[in-house]
Amino acid sequence: MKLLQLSSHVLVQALIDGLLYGGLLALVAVGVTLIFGVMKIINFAHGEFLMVGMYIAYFLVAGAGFNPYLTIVVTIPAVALMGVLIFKGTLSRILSDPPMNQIMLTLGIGMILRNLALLVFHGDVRTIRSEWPDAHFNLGDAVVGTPHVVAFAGAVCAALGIAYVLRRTDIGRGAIAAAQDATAAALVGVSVRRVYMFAFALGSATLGLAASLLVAYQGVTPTAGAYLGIMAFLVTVLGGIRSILGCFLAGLVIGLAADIGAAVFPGTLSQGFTLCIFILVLIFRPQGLLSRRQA
Amino acid sequence: MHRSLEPKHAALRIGVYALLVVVAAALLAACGNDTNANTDGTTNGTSSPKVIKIGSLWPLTGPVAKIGQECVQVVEMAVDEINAQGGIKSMGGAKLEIVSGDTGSAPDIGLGEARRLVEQEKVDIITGTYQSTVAIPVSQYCERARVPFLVGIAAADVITESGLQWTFRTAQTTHNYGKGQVELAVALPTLVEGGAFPEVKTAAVLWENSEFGQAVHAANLTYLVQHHIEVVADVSYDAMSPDLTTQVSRVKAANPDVVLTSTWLNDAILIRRARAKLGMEQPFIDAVGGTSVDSFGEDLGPLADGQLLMTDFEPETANEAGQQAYNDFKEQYRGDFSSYATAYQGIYVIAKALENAGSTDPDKLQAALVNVKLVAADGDKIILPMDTLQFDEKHQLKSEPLGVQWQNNVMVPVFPDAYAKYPVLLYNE
Repeated sequence: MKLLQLSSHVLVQALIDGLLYGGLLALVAVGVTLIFGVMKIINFAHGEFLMVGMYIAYFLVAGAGFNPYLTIVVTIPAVALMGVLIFKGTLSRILSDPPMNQIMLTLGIGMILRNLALLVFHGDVRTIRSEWPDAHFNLGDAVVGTPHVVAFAGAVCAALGIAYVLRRTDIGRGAIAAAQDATAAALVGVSVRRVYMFAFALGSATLGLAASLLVAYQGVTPTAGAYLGIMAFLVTVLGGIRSILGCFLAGLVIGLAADIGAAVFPGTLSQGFTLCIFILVLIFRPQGLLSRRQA
Repeated sequence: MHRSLEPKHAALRIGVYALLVVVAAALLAACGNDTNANTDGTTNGTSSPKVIKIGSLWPLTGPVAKIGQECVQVVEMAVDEINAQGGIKSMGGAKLEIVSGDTGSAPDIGLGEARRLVEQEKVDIITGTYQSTVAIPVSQYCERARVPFLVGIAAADVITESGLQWTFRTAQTTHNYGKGQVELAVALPTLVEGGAFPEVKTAAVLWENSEFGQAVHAANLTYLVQHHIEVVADVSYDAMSPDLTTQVSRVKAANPDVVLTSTWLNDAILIRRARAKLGMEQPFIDAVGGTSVDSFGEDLGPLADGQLLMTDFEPETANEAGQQAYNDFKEQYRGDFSSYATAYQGIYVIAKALENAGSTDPDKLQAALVNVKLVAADGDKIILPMDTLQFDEKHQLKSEPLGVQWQNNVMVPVFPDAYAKYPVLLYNE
């Protein structure tokens, strides 16, 4: 069967692509992990925040002639601010409501954002006109996209940065305390509401970063964030819902599974491969890759 | 014994009730139909209507809203032209009127809108839709409601393959595009300038995994086998994937003579970029997908050059009427007519059928559509590449797609011979 023949070139290419894709997934997922870890709220509008960031970055590049990577000076604060406003305006009012209300709220925000984008920008695919999308270099027989490598580096920096903030700053330690026991944290003087807003803003800010990194090689559409958003939930669950390192590893696992699946399996089977890995992890390590089982 | 009978009795009783309800519902429905038929019959008997309502169903909101709006513009342009030329003459110059519905790209919304158009707006015929997933429930509804449905763009084979009496289609089938791709591949040695292209012995198929891609893929495989071309790589992907380098590198590793693809827009761009990055030299032949859209050329610039694809309409080889329509549309709406040519042609088919039927009586109109025949030489407006236009026994327009190639950032006709104004160029990286 010639169809199943696997060339080592393809496998190496898949490993590289999978690793780089995994880093990007981790970057998108780290915000979900952070927000859920601290607030116990899943932000289902996560992918749409990313999409908004991508439009901002796109228009800065297309309209104002920015270098795609320079757009982070706008996208990171802009998406973080959007997170703060949405948190203050909506989420903070229903923090003690049943989880279902919170899910419905974030789902609704996501739908509104997506459809607003459709209304304003239509379904066109917008790609920046720049040398970045095609920039690449050779690594042996494999071809490596330069913007993909930059995105991976950005993901590593973001994960390290968040880990640093959580461990070494007051507000970060407050976030960890609130995550462990919100009442106890409040009793010892942590402003839980402020910590929540901080977590939500920081989680959103990572999407601003992801948006700028993505725009360098990806077209923007109103549904551009939806796919990565869903993959991010997969990564978050796989990583163990509150571990930043776990989230990063899970991103790599999902990314590698997706690309190796695409390299090895025929037809549509390749896409099932990622989900098989996911299900296997859920069966054998339901608490996630790195988290300890909760008492 | 005694006890065991009781539930049976109960079941029997429920069964009888259920049967009664069903019979009553059927009777009611039948009466409803009868009254409808009667009123329709009498209106048609007494006087010809002055206005003939054409329901038009396109996605006016949702991800392809812009395309849907252009569909409406194309259809309205045709209606305006027909009305300006005196409307339907056999019906005393009756004017056509478009009643617009929005499918929102969703089957259930599309179906609801079809219902509204028929039951409330009382349209005489429906044209649409963009997506096959919407066309399928609408075609089934029109079959029950006995309203003719002319499919302008949706391409899934099943729409005209399931023997529906009230559904007609001026658009190509997905199968036809898939077949065209293979025929173009086989003809490459004769099409390439200087005969520099060897006989095609192997091919790779690279396809997005939605219904469209699956149908193209199936047709690709059928005709590749028929032409004794070996499939050396068979790779599918999710069109939402943010990167397709691995998939394309797998195709490259198999070293095929040609690559057949079926795409949407974003993935078409990703494939083209990956092809360039990996330094592939083989020609890529797409079905009608993402490569046929203007933004494919706009986004990729010179990287788009060399891409081959199948299409329905190409302005340079189009007949005079086709070029006229193309230019008019560009002038009036600044849109790309080529993607909607089959929808535009559909309105002229409807007008011809109305002319022949001389009535909006559903049965007469349906029969007129079955037998409709447009002959360019007789002054009928045909803009698609053909001299006569007819439906086959499945109510599907008999036609073959054209092969075009992106050259210097525009699509030019290269296949089949009758329309090939340019040789195929090899753009080797």
